Parts: sequence; structure tokens; C-alpha cells
Amino acid sequence: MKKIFLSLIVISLLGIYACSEDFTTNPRPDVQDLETFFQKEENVESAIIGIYDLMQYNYSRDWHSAFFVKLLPGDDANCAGGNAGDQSQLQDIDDYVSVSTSNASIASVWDLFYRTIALSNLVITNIEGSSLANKDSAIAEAKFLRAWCYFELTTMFGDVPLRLTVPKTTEDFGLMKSSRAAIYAQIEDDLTVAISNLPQTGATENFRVTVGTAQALMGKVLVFQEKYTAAIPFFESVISNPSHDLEATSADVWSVGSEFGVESLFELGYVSTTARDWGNVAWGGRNESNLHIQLMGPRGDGIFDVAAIGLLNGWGFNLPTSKLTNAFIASGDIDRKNATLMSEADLITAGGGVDQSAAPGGVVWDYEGAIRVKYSTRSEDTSTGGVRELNYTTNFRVFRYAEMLLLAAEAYHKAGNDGLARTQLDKVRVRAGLTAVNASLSGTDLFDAIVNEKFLELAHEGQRFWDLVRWGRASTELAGTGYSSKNDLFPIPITEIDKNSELTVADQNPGY
Amino acid sequence: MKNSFLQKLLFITAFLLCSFSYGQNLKGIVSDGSGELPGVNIIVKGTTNGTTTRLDGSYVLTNVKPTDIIVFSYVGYKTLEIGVEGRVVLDVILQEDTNSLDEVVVVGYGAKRKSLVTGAISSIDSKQIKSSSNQRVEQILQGRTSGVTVSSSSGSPGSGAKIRIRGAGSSGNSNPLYIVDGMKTSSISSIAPSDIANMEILKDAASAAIYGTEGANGVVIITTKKGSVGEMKIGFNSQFGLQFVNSKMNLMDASQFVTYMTEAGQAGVVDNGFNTDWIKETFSPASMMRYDLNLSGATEKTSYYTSLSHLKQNGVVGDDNSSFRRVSFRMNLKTEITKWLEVGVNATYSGSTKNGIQENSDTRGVIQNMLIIDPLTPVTYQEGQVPQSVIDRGTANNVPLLRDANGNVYGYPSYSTGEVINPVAYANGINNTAVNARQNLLSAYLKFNIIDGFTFTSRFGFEKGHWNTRNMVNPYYVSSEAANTSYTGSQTIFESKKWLWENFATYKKSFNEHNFTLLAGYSAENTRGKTLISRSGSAAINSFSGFDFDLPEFNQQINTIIPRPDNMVSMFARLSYDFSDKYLFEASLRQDTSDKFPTANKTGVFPSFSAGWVLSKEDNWKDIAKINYLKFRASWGQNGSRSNLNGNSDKTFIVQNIGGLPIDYLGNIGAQITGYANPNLVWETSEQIDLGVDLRAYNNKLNFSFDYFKKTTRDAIVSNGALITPGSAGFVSNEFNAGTIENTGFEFEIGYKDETESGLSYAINANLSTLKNTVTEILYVPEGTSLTGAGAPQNSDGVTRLSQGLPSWYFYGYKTAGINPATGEINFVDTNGDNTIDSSDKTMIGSPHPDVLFGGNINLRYKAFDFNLQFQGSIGNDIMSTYHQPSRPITNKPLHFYTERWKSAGDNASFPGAANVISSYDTDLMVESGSFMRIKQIQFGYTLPTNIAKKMNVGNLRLYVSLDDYFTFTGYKGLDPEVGNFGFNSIGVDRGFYPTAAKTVFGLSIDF
Repeated sequence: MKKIFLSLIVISLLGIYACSEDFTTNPRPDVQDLETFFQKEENVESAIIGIYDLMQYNYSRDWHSAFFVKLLPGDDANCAGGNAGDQSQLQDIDDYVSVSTSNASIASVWDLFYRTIALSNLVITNIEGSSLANKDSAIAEAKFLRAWCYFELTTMFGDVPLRLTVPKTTEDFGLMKSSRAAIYAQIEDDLTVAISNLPQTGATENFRVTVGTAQALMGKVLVFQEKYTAAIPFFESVISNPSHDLEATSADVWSVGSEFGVESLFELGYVSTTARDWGNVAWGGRNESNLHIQLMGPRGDGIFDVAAIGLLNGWGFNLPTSKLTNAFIASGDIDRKNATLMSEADLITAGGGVDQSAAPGGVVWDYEGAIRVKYSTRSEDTSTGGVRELNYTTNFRVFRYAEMLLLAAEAYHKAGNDGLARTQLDKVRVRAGLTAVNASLSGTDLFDAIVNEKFLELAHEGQRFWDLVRWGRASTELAGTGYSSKNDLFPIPITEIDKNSELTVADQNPGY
Repeated sequence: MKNSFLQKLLFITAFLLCSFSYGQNLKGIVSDGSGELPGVNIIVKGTTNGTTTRLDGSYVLTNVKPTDIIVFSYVGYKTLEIGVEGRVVLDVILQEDTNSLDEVVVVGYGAKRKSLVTGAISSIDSKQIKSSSNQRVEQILQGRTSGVTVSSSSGSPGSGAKIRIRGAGSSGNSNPLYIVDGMKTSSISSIAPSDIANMEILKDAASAAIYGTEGANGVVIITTKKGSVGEMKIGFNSQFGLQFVNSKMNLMDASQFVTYMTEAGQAGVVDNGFNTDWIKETFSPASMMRYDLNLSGATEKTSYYTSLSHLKQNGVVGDDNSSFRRVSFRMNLKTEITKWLEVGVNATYSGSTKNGIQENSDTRGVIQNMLIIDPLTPVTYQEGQVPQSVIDRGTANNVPLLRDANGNVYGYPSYSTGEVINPVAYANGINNTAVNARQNLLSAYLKFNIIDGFTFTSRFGFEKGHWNTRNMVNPYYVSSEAANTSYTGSQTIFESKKWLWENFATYKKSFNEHNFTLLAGYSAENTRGKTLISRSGSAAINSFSGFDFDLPEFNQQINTIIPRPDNMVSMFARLSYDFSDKYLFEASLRQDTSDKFPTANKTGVFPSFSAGWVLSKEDNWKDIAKINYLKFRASWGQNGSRSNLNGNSDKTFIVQNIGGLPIDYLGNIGAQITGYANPNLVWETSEQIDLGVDLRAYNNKLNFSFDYFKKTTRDAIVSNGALITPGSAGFVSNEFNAGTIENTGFEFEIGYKDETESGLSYAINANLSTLKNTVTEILYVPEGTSLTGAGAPQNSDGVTRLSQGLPSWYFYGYKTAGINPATGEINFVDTNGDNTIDSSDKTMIGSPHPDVLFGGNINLRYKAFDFNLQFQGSIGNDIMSTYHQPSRPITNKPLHFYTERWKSAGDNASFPGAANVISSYDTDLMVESGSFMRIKQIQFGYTLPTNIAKKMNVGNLRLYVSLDDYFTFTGYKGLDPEVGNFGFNSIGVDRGFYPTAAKTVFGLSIDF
């Protein structure tokens, strides 16, 4: 008996020992190996979707959306919110003076653009040598998205690390900054590839970028480098492409019906299918719905009564400046103004109301007499049931045909062709319900008209400040706001400088 | 064959010896004064003639000569030698030997006489536990031994305390390894304290090295009770207690608050007649009770112990909305099947329900809201006094008003904005988290006595846990940031299973005075955790029909959580040697192979050596009569840690699912990578040197121990790769080895016990440890930079950091140099001397690590009365408050913000003017000393005299009253210095914790 027991034990011991190698090898379930993943076409597609998904996340992330961060320094919008200290990192960007190198929103935008770039790099690196049928189109799409992110980064941060490969070990994490010129050169290279391999609009799903998107972006990138003549052919290709045009009216641009419409060159989509509620909303994470819209809704708590105009209350950020309201009035612009903002008087006339006494301290912070209706909390843009505040489906039109027309007008004007410049400008004006400019308008007056048109057309869309900087008009337009030339660039996040072994505080942008 | 021959030979020898020495019979009864003792060894000195007492304590010894000396020995009692002196009846009473150095302590895979231990091991036995009124095992360890910190991260019922042995060595999980009856378990929360026979705490690396990978944070070994030979014994314990909060914390009252807000420029805040003391209102007395029943007994071959225990504790916040109920059942069996085979089974089942409130959140928590809500808000409105704006807010959002049990509407913040909610409403009427847990722990063994001194044990352990967590939130609308416009619920069901199979052989052999014990073994373990259900959703108010998680409304989001497998195989060996109990030596080696590490580094080897010299055993020692025992010991060893790892860190994977949800863009499934592979990940190794002295003097009345230790944790693993990955890398690194952390300290334990002639027995024990924690090296990040830890509202720099040369995760913020008398603004210190104040001036402003920990107890017993006092404390640690809201200016604050503030030009104040207070939230003004001493327990007991007890047919009856956590001595101005955060990077960060309740406990224990 004893012997039998003992032999059993000895055998089982030897047994365990023999298979201990297998026993202690446990691949993670529900994941796929990087080495084999990119061997299938549908997997490549899935990775491309992953890049779009990161774009969607970055532009709508609560408190830190790229959409809002890019917009805040402009003179079209105030940060606003619950009070002067609400989300101080956002207030700081709006107020210029104390933008910190540890500003969490700036760091988030930086990190997420680089994450989008990293995933693009992963796709490009892994399929470049393959013979997959969708190789060319996938590379074109990934390169477009990489170019887009680098363009946003260099616009906001100037010289930045140019990462085009996937780090293999922690030693690869360190990377020096490249000059803005080198960044632009890479963007142009990527866009050239994208233009030659992207499909035409209509030949693919509506959320995808097409050859027209890439040509328009190439034009924009060249205008930002003051390469006006070089930019014109790209704009002309888009203008002559019947797939792209303006919506009929300014209000149409923002309607649910025009999502992924003719005017959208690039649009980020949001859905309510995830049915978020106060319990499962992913703070700081991916919600698929546009949580940022809730952040930007007119503040409730008894302050703004906006039910009569079809809006729901939100958290009160992103209010229009009086400068913007006055610019609409001065231009005699009514239709487009009504599609962009609403004055207090108009709100009351429409059956709504404003009660400043309900706000802390009796004053609504950063409120200058109007609320914004562009990208506002429209009840028709959210789910019909559930927690409506958390399920906005409002898409961000991050690149519109109208913007491209105004860039084209700028390029024609700078290249000496004021006639064609006026043509493009007038397309935008007429759609807005305004008359064409005087046919003799030229020179600085014409340029000023383009500048003003862009201020109104692209109000609250994050273009204004960066245009003022490149036009050299920031110091005059923003005089008295706290702006100084250091604000022309955001600080490189201190988290990047601390962890990137190739950067030191000496690499920080001037003034920070 | 050999065996039986030897036996025959012995038998013949004994027979021959007996026949030559003519003698008579001796009989009697052995007792300990309170009862008969079965199984006492009785031997005629210098012979092999012996017997043991029967169940009733009686014995008969044959062939005794009138001049013989009889030796009575029994574990736990002083050995008695007594001459026969011609008697034929000899009744003896054995004295308990609480000082015995022959006491056996449990060590890894075996047991050892205390006098031969070469490591730093502390033990606690059932007697110490018996007088404790604690509800949980962890609490019993508080203050009892040096080098062990026990702190809870919450005082809420059912919240576990965290045990730290010799400081937090790791940058992640620093929990010690728990071994219950040989089985590794993930937690000891399901064990009823009354079931514990003894606990050993292995503090030094040499003692813990036999557990290899998991021993780095020390080991707690728990042995549960066994039946002792005799008739069935029945024990019953009952406790009833009343709890309340005994905090001295004060917040500003209404008039102070109005003054403060007016000075801050908040002219709108005016006295509205309300003056609510939120601390008083939020806490209310609550009850708790405990019953234990146990049956035990044994025959010579078989022993059994079985118990049933029930505990119910309500919370001092929200009463039964934060409560804990536990029922546990235990069955321990052991039987000798044949001479060479012993079988044992220990099994427990525990079922519990814990209801909890929201806490430890710096923006949304009951306690945090209690600390900052304005005092101008009433707890409830009187009939008809509900403000119209409150009613409007409800109707505008179609949400009913919050009401208490009597139907009164709860007060809505009169002035505070944002996330702030009335804490009484929050605790009682808004949300509830209920956790139903079922835990089973089974360990069974076969022990073969193969030949004399050689045993082989095969032990199998199985642990299964099942946790059903439901979070239920009722609708409310307080403000646009504090709202829930539907009934929201989520449910998670998690199940874990673990098996451990250990096989080890022990061989004991002595040659002359050389004693050897050799242990060698092999083990395999497998742990699987699986989330069976993770779902959430919300139901509209008008269609709500209860929180039934099977309804489609609560299945709107279903998360798929990827299980993380964990397997390990190990080999271990240990050699113990002593020469005549005088020169001691021990060496051990363990090899672990774990799937948590990259293939190349999968196996770790952990050696240890230790030695001891019992100076008092030297021949010439007798001269120094006062010292009975003196031992010097030294040990060195290495341990590992793998508890912070996910496994497969050397691989970059593609996932199509993040946080349990698919990566989805407009209905298309996306993919991305998990994190960058770290092929260089190595085992976190903790190396420890321990030098110690054990001394007993004055007839063993005085005992003293001293230890010095230095624990160096190299390649500390940090799982958050974002800490070293720059944003421009895009994704983050997998787990990485962050650097080296060093803990050094001295530990002292001293005790004295005696009994006076009048019958007063007393014992005084005290312990003290020092601890110094330093990060000596940080890998990966460029020199001079630090890793960022815990955050705080609107503070992106974080409030804790890890930097070279400083304590791990020290507090980080601005240093201040008083208040500018002219303006009331804070004078920030320009630490880098660049003439501007910006975030680069932030520096170390405090350390959460105590310099000194101390504890002790005093026990007195006089006739039927006993008294026990126990205390614990720490010196030198800081606490940082992060519950303040920079974005919400109208919030209340602790009183000293008011009394010490700058009021007008010329004031030399220590706190800024009200208008500048927000800039103080990330400065050293938020850091306070957390030093404290707390009387953990004062207990008075009365034991019924034996003769009266006998008449009542009970063996022992004790009544006691105990004041637990009643008195606290501290300069800390917050709620409770003892409760604190135990996230590895947020120790000492106070986000608003559920404080420890003071308790008055009445108890009864009876043995039949």
C-alpha cells in the first residue's frame, strides 16, 4: 500500500516537472499577435478603423478635446463654464497668461495626436513590404491621417519630434525635435502618396478621406508655408471635382441631414448606439457619442432657459465673444449669424431666458451677451431616450469645403490673381445670404475681406487664432487680452520633456 | 522489515529492564488547575518507562520505585519533575508556560522550536486573540509586533485593513503573502478571528525566502485550531457593540463661512439662518454584533474542530447602507489512518454581504462632500420650505426630489456648486454598492511517516471566490454636474479559482549533538480569475421596476473582460543545522518559474542564509545568572515579487477591444496595439539583511528582541508604462523595472511579566520600529526627472512623485514661506532660483512614511478580574489633503483655514486670505503631520470562579466590556490620522475617508 502511494507520487511529480514548461506558458487570450495580424486584408482595414477611432476620441475627449483646445486662444470664443476656476487648464489657454507646461489638456492633445501617428506608423511599417490587395489604399489612408496629425501638431507646437517608425524597446522612446520645415516636408510627402492612391468620393464609405480631402489639405499646408502658387493647382482640382460643393444655406451645414454631406472634406462621426448613462459614461475615455457637445451646451442650474430653441442645457463652455457678435452685425450677416450664435434678446424673443443671478457670484462667467448655437446641444442631435446629455451624435466637420474656398481665395490673392480670389470668396458670401464683394475690391482690402469672412464663416471651428498668428495679426487683434508672442505656440508638455531622453528644458518653446 | 526488527529489539530491552527493576504502580490525575489534561507525557526519569494521561487526565504508571523521579511534560506547560517519595497516588497540577522557548513556531513548510529560530519571526497565539474584541484578523495584528503596520483604507464595515511588513518595498502591491493552514490565499478577510490557533509573521528575507517570488513583502502564516484530546468541548462567544465617530475635526460654521466667503469676494453668500454641522449630521451611532460557536475534541487518533461564526456591523455613515454581514463555517479534521499515514482536511466557507457608500474620491464622495458642502444648507427642509429653485430643478429634468425615510426633502446645496451633494442624502438615498461574496478555502494533506525522522507530505489546496457587485444609483438632480436622470445600475460577477499542490519531504537526523533537518519539495499552482458578467445600463424613471439586472435596461453595455492566467511551478529546499541548540545555521533555496515573465527571464532563484549563536548555552554562561537566554542571529536572503504583473510583457499584441468594449468607429471594428513590448523585464528582487538579538532574563520574566534590517528592492516593477513613455511614442510601454527602493530600520520588542504574591499577574509589552524609505535609483527617465503618482483635482503635476534620493511617492507641491502681510497672498518659495514661480518650483513638501511606529499592551489579572490595554501609533508621517476643489470657490474648509487666515494688511498669518485660498491647494499648507497615538483597546473582564462555574455546568465563563479606538492623541486636524490611502502611489493622500469608529463592546464567552 505504502509503496503504491509513493510510486504514484513520484510519477505525478515527474509528470508535472515534464510539462512545467507548457504549464508556465500562457498566451494572453483574446488578443492577436502583431507578427501575423497584418497578413490579412480585413485586419489591415480594422487597423485603419482604429486610426479613425483615435481621431474621433482625440477631438471629443471630455475636458481635453483637440477641437476645443485648438479653438480656445481665438478671439471668437471664450472658455466660459461654471465659473472662472472651472477646468482651469482650459481657462488658462483662453486667458493666455498662465499656460503651464503641465497643462493637462495640451498634454492630452499632444499624446493623442502622437498615438494616432503611432498607429498609422504601425500600419505603414507592417504592410509596406506586403502584397495585399488593399496595400496601396491602406497606406494612402494611413499617410493622410499621419499628415493631418503632424500638421495639427506643428501648427500648435512648432518644431516637434518626427516619429515615423514603431519603437522596438524603451531605448527608442527618446527622439529629438525636427524643424517645422522638416515636418512640412514629411507632410507633403505623405500627402503626395495619399493623393495618388486614395479613392474618389463616392467610391468608398462616406466617413473616409478621399483624394479631394488630401488635395485640399495639401493646398492648406502649402498656404501655411506661403507657397501660394504651388497650392493653387490642388485647390483647383477640388473645386473642379463635382463631388465637393457648399451646402445650400449656412444652417444646412450644421443640420443632422447634412452629416457627411457634400461640404464635408473631412468629418468625424459620433453615434448614440452605446447608450451612455451617468453610471457607464467613460470619463476621459471613448464614448462613441460626442461628450464634448454636453460640455459646450448653455449652462443649466437655472441660468439659461434654452428649451424653446430646441437646445438642452450643458456645462456652459465655449461662449461667443461680443467681438464675434459685433462682427456679424457689422457685416449685415443675418442667416449665418443665426446659424452660429444667438443674442440674449433673440433668445428671450424666442421664448427662452437668461437668469444671471442663478450663477455663482451673480454673473455668468465669460458671458458676453450671446450663446453659441453652432455645435450646440440640439435635442434632435441626441438619443430620444436614456440620458440625452451623454449621447450627442453631433459630428465634427473638421475640414469644410467653405474653408478650402477661403484658403483658395487667399492663395489666389497672394499669387496676384484677385479676380479668382473674389470668385472663391463670393461663393462663401452668397451662400451666407450676403452679396458678392465689389468687383474692384483688391489688395489689402480684399485680404481684409477674406480675413473677416473667415472669422465669420469658421467661427468656433478652431481656425481663427492660428490664422492670426501666421498672418502676423495676433498682436493687434488680441491686444489687451493677455496675449503675448509666446502664445503663438503651445508649450511642449513637460511630461514629454521629462520622459523623452533626447529633450531637455532647453527644447521648450520660447517663453515657457 | 528493519522497522519491526527494531521494534522487537526495543520491546525486549524494555521488558528486560522492567523485570530487573522491581516496582509498584503509581496513579493519579494531571490537571492545570482549571481542568484535567489528557495526553500528558509521563516518564520515569532516566528510563524509557512511561505513559500518557487518558481523556479524564488519569494515569497509571507501572514499575515505579519509591525513589524514582517522575517527569510530567506537556506542550505549553512547564515540565514538572517530582519525586515519588513512596507515594502510590500522585496528583499534579502543571503550570502553563507562556515564556517557553520550547514553544513551537510555524515556519514555511514546517515548524521549529523558538529557541532555534535564526530569522525575525513574531508570533501571536490564540490567547492574545481571545481577549481581542476585533472583528477581523488584520486588526488583531495592530500594534502587537514591531515592524508591522496595519492600517485601513477605510473605516467602513467590512473594509479590509492593509498589512505592511517593514514598509512598502514595492512600487505596486506591497501586501504580504498569506498562508492559511499551508494554503496561499489572496485575502484573510473571510477568516473568523476566533478560529485562529496562532499567527506567525515572517519579517526577514531568510525566513520568507522559502516562499520565493511572493515573500518579498513578508509572510503571515495562520494556523487554525485543532481539537485537543478529550471530550467534546463547546465554546460560545458573543459580542455586542455600539460604534460612533469620535473625531475632533471642525469645519467652519455658518457665520464663519459667510465671513470667509465675503472676504473671498463671494458677496452672494449671506446668512440664511441655517447652520449645519455636517460632520455631526453625517455620522450617527451604529450597532454591531458577533456570535461564534465552536465544537472540538479528539481521540488519540482523530481530532476535529468545527465552528460557526456570524458577524453583523452597521456603518456610522448611512447605517445599514454601509454595513457588513458575514457568516463563516469551518471544519478541521485530522486523523492517523495507520502508523505511517496521517490525513488532514481544513475547510472553510464564508458568505458575506457588504454595502458601501462612495468614498476615497476627490470630487465625488460622501465624506469629501461632507467636508466641503456649505453649512448654510439644511439637512432637510421643513414642510413647505423647499425653495422654488430646487423644485424647478427637479421638474425641469423630470427627476423626483431627494427625500429621507420620513418623506422630508433633503437640503440641496444653498451655495456650493458643481459636484457637491448633501452628504446625508448621498449616504442614504442616492447610491449603494452591494457586494455579495462567497469564499471557500480547502486544504487537505497526506503525511507519510516513512522511516523514523523521514516524512513526506503531499498537500493540496483549493480556493474559490465568487463576488457579485451591484452598484445602484437612484435618480437625482442637484446640479448639472451632480445629476443622474434615470435609475442607473451596473453589475459585475467575478470568480476566481486557485489550486496549489505542494509535495515535500522532511528528514530529521541527529549525530551526537549535531542536529540536521533537511526539507526538499516541489509545488505547482494555478490561478484563474474570470469576470463572468459585467453589465450596466439605466432605466427611465417612469418605467423603472426595480434593480433587476436581467432586464434589458441594465444590459445596455456588456463588457468582455479578458482573463489573466497565472501559473507557477517551484522547487525549494532548506537545510537547518544546529550543534547542541547552541550554534544554529540555516540555508534555503527556492526556484520559481512563472508565466508572468518574459520567456528568457521566466525563472527566478532566491537563496537565503542565516545563522545564530545561543550564547547562553555556552558552558561558562551559568555565572551570569540573571540572563537566562541570549541569542545573536544574522540572516541574508532574497525574495521576488510578481503580483504587479499582467504577464506577456515581452509582447506587443493587437487588440480589438479596450476596457471590455470593442474599438468601434461608426459600426466598424477597429484595432490597435496594447502597449510596447518590454523584452527586458526582469524579476523584482528584494534583498534583506537582518541582524538580531533575543534575550530573556530574570527567570524569563523579561524578554527583549532587537533587529536591524536593510531591505533593498531592486528592479521594482511598475505596471503603468505611461510613467516612462513620452507622449510622442504614441502608445505606452508594458510593465517596466523602475528602480531601487531601500527600507532600513531598527525594531525593538520588550516585555515583562510576573505575578505578585497577592495573586496579581501582570504583563507589559511594548514595541517600536523605525523606518527609513529612500528611492536610491530610477531607471529609464532622464536624470533629475521624476515619476508622477497620485493626482488631485485640476492639478496636472500630481501630488506624489518618485525621485532619486527621496522617499518613495513623497508629496509634491509648492513650498511656502508664510503669508505676505500686505496682500494675504502666499509667499511661494522660488526653489530653483529663476525668479519666477511656476510648476518647476514644485518640490518635496512631505513624506507619507513614518519614522517611528510603536505599539504595546498592558495586561493585568487579579483573581477573577482582568484588564487589557493596547495602543498603537506612528511618528513622522505626513498626510496631504486633496479634497479641496480649485474649480469650486464656494466650499467649506477645516476651521483652521478660518482662524489662522490673513484678514487685513499687516497680519502675520499662517493661512492665506480667503481670496487667495485656492492657490494653497497644491502647497505645503495642505500637508500636516500624521503622527498619532491611539488606544486601540481598553478591556475589563470578569471570569466566573471555577467552583461557581462548575455548579452552573460551564467550564469557563468570562464577561467583558471593551472600549475600542476610543482615545486618540494627535495634532492632525483631519478626521482620522489612522485611516489612509493605500494605493502604492497615494499613501497618505486624504481624499475624504470613512473614519475609524470608536466602539463600546460588551462580550461574553463560555466554554462547556
